Amino acid sequence: MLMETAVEKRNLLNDITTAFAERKSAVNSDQQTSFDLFLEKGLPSSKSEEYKFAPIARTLEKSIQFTTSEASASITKELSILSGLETNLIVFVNGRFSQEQSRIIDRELQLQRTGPARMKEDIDPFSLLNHSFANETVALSVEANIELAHPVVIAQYVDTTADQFSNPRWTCNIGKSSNVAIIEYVVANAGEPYFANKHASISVAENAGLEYITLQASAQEVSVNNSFIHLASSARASSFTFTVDGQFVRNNLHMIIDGQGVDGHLYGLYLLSNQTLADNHTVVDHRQPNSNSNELYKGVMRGSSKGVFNGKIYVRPDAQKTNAFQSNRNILLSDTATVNTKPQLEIWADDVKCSHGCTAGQLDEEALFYLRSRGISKDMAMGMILYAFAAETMAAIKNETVKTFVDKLISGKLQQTT
Amino acid sequence: MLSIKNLHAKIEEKQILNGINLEVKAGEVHAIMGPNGSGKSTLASVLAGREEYEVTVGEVEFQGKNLLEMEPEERAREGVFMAFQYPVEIPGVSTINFMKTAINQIRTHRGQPTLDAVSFLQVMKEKMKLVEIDQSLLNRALNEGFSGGEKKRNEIFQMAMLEPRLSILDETDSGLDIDALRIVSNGVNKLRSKNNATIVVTHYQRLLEYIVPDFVHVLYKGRIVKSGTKELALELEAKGYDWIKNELALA
Ligand SMILES: Nc1ncnc2c1ncn2[C@@H]1O[C@H](COP(=O)(O)OP(=O)(O)O)[C@@H](O)[C@H]1O
Ligand SMILES: [Mg+2]
Repeated sequence: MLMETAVEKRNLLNDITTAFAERKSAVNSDQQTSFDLFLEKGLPSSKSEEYKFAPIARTLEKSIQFTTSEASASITKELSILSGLETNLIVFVNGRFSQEQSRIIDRELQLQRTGPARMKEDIDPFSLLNHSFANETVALSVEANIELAHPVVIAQYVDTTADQFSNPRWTCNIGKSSNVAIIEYVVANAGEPYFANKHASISVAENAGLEYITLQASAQEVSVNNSFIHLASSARASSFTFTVDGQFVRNNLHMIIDGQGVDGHLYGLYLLSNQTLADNHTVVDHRQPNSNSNELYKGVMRGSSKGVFNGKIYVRPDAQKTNAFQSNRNILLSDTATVNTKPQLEIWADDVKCSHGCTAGQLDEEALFYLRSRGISKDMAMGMILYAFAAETMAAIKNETVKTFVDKLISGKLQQTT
Repeated sequence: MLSIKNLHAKIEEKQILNGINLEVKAGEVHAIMGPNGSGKSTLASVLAGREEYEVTVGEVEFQGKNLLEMEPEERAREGVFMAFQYPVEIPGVSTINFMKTAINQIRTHRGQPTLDAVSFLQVMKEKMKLVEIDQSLLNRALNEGFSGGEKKRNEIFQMAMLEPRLSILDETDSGLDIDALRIVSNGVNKLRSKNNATIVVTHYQRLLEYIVPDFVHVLYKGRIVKSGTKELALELEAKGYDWIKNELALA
């Protein structure tokens, strides 16, 4: 007789459902709807078009417990990593807003805590999951005509000894003709992996400006980051996404251009090593005429890391005279590193200028030899070429202190030779 | 200073150098001429340390040291400089930053203190005058969008900055108009001294009117088939390379 000895396979959806059931008393009906929708969709498998190269279910199965124990997390690390920079600080501890840890130094920055409402943009399974588990929505806002003096830092703190599952949810409304800079990152204590499942939604009113910087540099990170930027007429926005470490990082960045005369920039840089997987899915959605978008994502991959880039550009029927450009460039430094890059342009208007290009190649050997032939060591020459390649993605950062910080982060990563 | 003995080299199974012998002493200028494809750039590249080329037989000694064992950067630090036939464009790296890094790595190797920003600029200004190159060009990304002449001038500027013992100029005259040729040659001549040596690789005799060689060698099919003084260059100009080919066919 044959013995059945198979180890029972972990059922992720069951685990997540159990965790959700435990929070039942704290959940509103909207959230129940989101959770039902999430279950309907299920976790994306490798057959899912959107998560084809990002085996998220496998990653979660391997390393994440879905408890939301409300155990009090302890803060053992510095939350403001931008030393020398005075900022507003909004802190989420294991996904829950922390009044104690947060501090607002600009009077014009308002913060409201509300029950988590379902938004039209909650479509991705992880957006739905975030909404189901979110404690609240932290709604930031700045009224019209305000030049916010200090950047708004949004820090997720994860204490993995309490929980590994974090679902922060925040929005930010920038009033007409105001300017705001937002910097977002995660700080984690203990070396355990965590799953940071964020949802953020930013609205930039007429003639207002946004600088939005995301720093991803934690080795333990498994994350899905759903970020939406809505732009009204004459708004300007630049997003910068820097990924230098992590286990599995998935960014779903949407820029929705819902006005005329908008200027939107999307910069991204992923410097990957070891087994890191970084997947950037971006959507630039031109819904109104006469706007410009410009996207530049670059990647350098070592070890067995994986880069994924998928750039969608939609130009809707009304969006005549749109200029939309996209470029994705990759350097592979090892035989076992890979990159999958795919531009996806869908254009329904006829009077538009769109272009896209993607490349993947090795380091330019000719350039390397040229520098070495002038006495520069191989490592340093490589560093110079890679830095020059990477620098273009941070050149447009306005705040000098932030730029210097990013510069150090990137230079440091490029000096690693494995 | 440089002693090449029976040098053979190949690339991708293609044998290109077939036994080169050459002695270069301090203070000398040697011209290497020869038809296209005879192996001039290959010789220059092997001396500079380009890794695609494999040396199969032979030795190269530079100031008493085995040159072939050294990495390209070590050769540069020891005093070898090659001006590229086709200088590489490197986006995002300015000539100034690049030169500052290079000069300080070389100085460190030579046991000299590194240059601070001020003294670097001082040296740079001085060398810029020598090759009549504009600072705006040096602020730009290395060779990116430079004209052919600007690239060649930048090569000689770098040479002036790094003060090599042995300079190898690979077709530095190609793509230069007569004014640029005069400026570049002037630069090279001002840098000549009894302590350093120059190998001028060229296709045409024209450059040698400006940089007058002590010796002229003709490279053909990977061998030096004829050596002489500067008169040989004139003879080549008058009779063409067919003269050499025919002479070899007869022998
Ligand atoms: N990378 C290469 N791969 C294959 N053949 C090469 C390569 N580089 C040069 N060669 C060949 O070697 C020969 C010598 O080239 P080169 O040294 O550039 O000559 P020269 O500088 O005298 O014109 C030519 O036949 C050329 O085609
Ligand atoms: Mg040549």
